[in-house]
Amino acid sequence: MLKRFLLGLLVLWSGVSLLAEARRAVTSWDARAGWEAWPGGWRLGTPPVARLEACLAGARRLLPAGTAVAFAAPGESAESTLFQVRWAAYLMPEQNVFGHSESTAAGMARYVISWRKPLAEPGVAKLRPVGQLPGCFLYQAIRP
Amino acid sequence: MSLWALGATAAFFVLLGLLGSRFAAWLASPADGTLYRCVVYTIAGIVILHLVLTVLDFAGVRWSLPVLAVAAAGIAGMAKTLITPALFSHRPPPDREKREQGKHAPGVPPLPVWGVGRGRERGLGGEGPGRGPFGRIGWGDALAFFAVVVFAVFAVTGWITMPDFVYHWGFKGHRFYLARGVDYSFLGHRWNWAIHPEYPSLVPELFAVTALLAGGFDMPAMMLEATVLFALLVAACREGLRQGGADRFIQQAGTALVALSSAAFGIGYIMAGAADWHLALVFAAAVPPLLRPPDRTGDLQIGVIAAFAAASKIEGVPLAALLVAVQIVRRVWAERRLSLKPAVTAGLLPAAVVLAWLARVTHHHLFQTLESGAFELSRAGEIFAGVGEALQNPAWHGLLPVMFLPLLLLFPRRTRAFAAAATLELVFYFYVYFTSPVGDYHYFVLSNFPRLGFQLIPACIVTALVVWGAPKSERPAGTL
Repeated sequence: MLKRFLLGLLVLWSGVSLLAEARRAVTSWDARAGWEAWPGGWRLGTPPVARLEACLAGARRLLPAGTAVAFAAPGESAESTLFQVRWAAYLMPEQNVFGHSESTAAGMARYVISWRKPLAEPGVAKLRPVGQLPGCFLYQAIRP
Repeated sequence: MSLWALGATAAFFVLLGLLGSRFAAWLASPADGTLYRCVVYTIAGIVILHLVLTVLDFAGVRWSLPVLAVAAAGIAGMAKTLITPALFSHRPPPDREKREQGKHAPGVPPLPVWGVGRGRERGLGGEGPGRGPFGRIGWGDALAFFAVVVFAVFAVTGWITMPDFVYHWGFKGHRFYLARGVDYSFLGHRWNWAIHPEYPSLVPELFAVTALLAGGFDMPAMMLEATVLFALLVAACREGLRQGGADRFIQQAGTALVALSSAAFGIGYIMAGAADWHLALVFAAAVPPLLRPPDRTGDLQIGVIAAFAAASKIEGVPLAALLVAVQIVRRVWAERRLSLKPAVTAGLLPAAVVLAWLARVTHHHLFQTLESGAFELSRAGEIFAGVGEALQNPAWHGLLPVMFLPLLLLFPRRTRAFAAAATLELVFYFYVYFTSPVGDYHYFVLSNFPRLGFQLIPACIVTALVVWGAPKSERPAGTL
């Protein structure tokens, strides 16, 4: 009888846990319009992801499939940029997206997308601005 | 959200189950109920699909629905006509021989599809004739169903999508769908280190084939996959409790406990689209054959489950080896002789999966330095501090320490086989913590320990309840 009682309590505890997690998920879902987490905490359907999607949707129309694209986030930490690059790659699966500062991809990019701010580094001299997309800037690499 | 794509996901798993059911005569033990048959046939179907996709990649054939349909039909036909009489005899293992005598003609599979109605054992927790294909539905089943539905609702919205789905699992699935194959030329780029190009490819393959069926890469459809795996996990746990001889209350309470706690963690820790569902299912599905005295059907069930583990995640590779090794040791121990046949039956499929994976990963130079490093005991402080903190993870609501139960489950004889595999897998997790050169070990542990615990906890709950809750009189012969 004691075993059943204890097990029943555990089931009850799990049920309450599920309801608590569901309630928390509903609350955060309702508040997703104000979800401005750092890139490691982004979720599908949140404003930062929607902004990135809007930028990349414009780029996808201009770039052929298989194009090597470097993604830069000027002013962001290396860790933040790493997550942003992953999101950009997920949202542009037809192109080959990697980080602009990725040492293993040096010189491979045909295009560079700069998130939110224009590029202002020495290497920008080798890039030709293609245009401003929603929330980002697109450059084409100048090949010798 | 496309209803067509969601339907395609559901249909995909039904088709996989039907494909696996072609091997019913060898995959289902008389002790197995309908739910477990659904589980093991689906896993077998997934393993067959993975091997077919691997062969297509080796042959340079692009994945397409007609090619997959022809391959599936060919395999189903071969199972019936050519392969089965040549490789296996239908003679049941000695412990079942007397029970099965006169039931079926030799070589005739008694279960064409899904296995409903084949030799259910009475006295093992209540599934029997006249009670419907799933036995008597109880309050625990209703709670479990509720938990799966709640998880499914959140999953298909994308709100509880695991970040790793975006970072690599789902991304690779989409790439493979676009490339109509595992895109090794893409994975081989050095800048792709962050997407773990060396990982076994089953998880993205399932996403890619779902996309093929759905006609496009639809995120909610991919999230529904996690729900299907969750449902299979609950089914396997319910069956583990039934086969373990737990009384009806404990079966129902255990099923509900597994489902409610897994759903709570899945929502709270945002686990939809994660590959950890695969390994949680592996542990749970391995419980029934490891609880039973070892037999030939168990060898093949363990082989299929181990192959599924090895194809799913990198930590699934050692788990596969452990499951097979434990099963072989049990056979040797029970029969007091070393026989090659059980080793081949249990080890062939996992070996095929692992060797093909190793060959491809080595050929394309995909292994990374992160995989290798010296054992550094000096990390212990950081690692155990991380474990201590992870054990209080709020999404687990205090249940995470259950993952250490295998250490206690080593003592009762009937759970020793499961506990041995689970304990050694736990040791492997810690071995990785002590050898991977990642830098911040505290963060490293915190970032994955709750997920690793999820792989173990449902099966640990089941085996603990079997020990704790089964009256001795109802325990199968050959167990404590």
